Amino acid sequence: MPEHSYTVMEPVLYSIERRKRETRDTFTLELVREDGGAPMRFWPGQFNMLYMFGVGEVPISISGDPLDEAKIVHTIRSYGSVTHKMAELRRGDVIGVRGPFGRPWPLDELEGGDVVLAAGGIGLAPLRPVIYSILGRRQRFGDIALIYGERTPSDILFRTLLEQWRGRFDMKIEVTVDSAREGWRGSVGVVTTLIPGLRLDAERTRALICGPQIMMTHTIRALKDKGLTEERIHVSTERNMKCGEGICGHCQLGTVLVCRDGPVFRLSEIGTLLGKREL
Amino acid sequence: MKEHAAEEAEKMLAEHVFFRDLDPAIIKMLSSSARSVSFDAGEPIYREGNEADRFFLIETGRVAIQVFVTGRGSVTVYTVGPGDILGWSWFYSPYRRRFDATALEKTRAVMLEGAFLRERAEEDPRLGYELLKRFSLVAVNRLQDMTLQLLDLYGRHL
Repeated sequence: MPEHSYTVMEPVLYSIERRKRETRDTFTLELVREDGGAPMRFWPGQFNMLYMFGVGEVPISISGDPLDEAKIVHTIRSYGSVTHKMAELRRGDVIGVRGPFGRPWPLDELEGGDVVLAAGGIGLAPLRPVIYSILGRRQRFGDIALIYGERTPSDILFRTLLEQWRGRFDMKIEVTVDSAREGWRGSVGVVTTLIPGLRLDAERTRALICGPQIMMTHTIRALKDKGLTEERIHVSTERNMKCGEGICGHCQLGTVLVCRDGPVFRLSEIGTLLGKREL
Repeated sequence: MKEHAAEEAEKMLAEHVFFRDLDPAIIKMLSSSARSVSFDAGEPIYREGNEADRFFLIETGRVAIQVFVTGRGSVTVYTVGPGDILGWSWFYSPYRRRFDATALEKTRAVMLEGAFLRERAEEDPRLGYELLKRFSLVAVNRLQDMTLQLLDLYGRHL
């Protein structure tokens, strides 16, 4: 993992080089350092704290290519007061960035085997860097499948990119939506309905899951039905991270601090914590 | 709908996940009413209110289960694909379709005669119970899936 070369509590200024609207409530920001320096290096699955000065700070996963040395990319769904304000950012505007924080997806462990990536909603964003990494050295991996669930066809993220990846023919991509108007020719149903149709070799497959907790819970159940053990299932958990360094305790999940010990966990590490009502 | 050779249906039936571990004697009996069929993309398979006298085991392709809503047209509420069952109304009175079904892409399936199976199930409680267990599981899973669909999972919860 890259060494921190900054004071973690002090934001570094980045300016918006490009803002792209993804869907009605989701947008992507491409950031470059205000001082002209190289952006931070990161590992897929890590997140940054993005600071809108005078408004507040939010944890946002990095959604860009880890090999991109020119910019850092975040895809953000507008949920609360800070992200609503962020949705108004334009090219040249400046924000503060702290990070990268957290434990990444276990890319080294994926090599040599098959990989299933299961994304729900904005959960596709933290998985996109994994796909970039895998496709950058495709020959080191076996079968790759991405299953992705969204609310409606118009909420689908990275639509053009998904089509490009599907066109490579070395990666299976299945998208499903919860509801669709007439004209949608794809699948309708929750993302778990895509799992029985996957040809999985449980002994050589690892699954990476990111999405709402209830989606992850049901996805885990379906993958276990396919024979995957908790050792082979990795999840990215979301909590209300604040400091990013395991100091403030805001993101405590039972015995772990998500910002420091996660956000990516092997299921066997937190199996009993995930979905526990009291937590 | 195009029909194919009978022996294809028997082979598909024996290999279909829905009938996994079923007594071979029952498979053989089921095969006597099975036919291999295919549908073109966009082809209606059945309509709400039709008599429900058959069901399908999807082998390839995808089928939309739809509700017609005045002013909105046909709304797809669920899709089924390889390994899935299409149609269970034949098993429950009044044996009428509750939804529309339309092939979204070229689809191959095994078609079984529901009325024939109902009669066999009445005669043989062992067969009837086995079918009930399997179709009930399909119904329970669909109910759970649709409950999750209603929750707006990907909204403000992440």
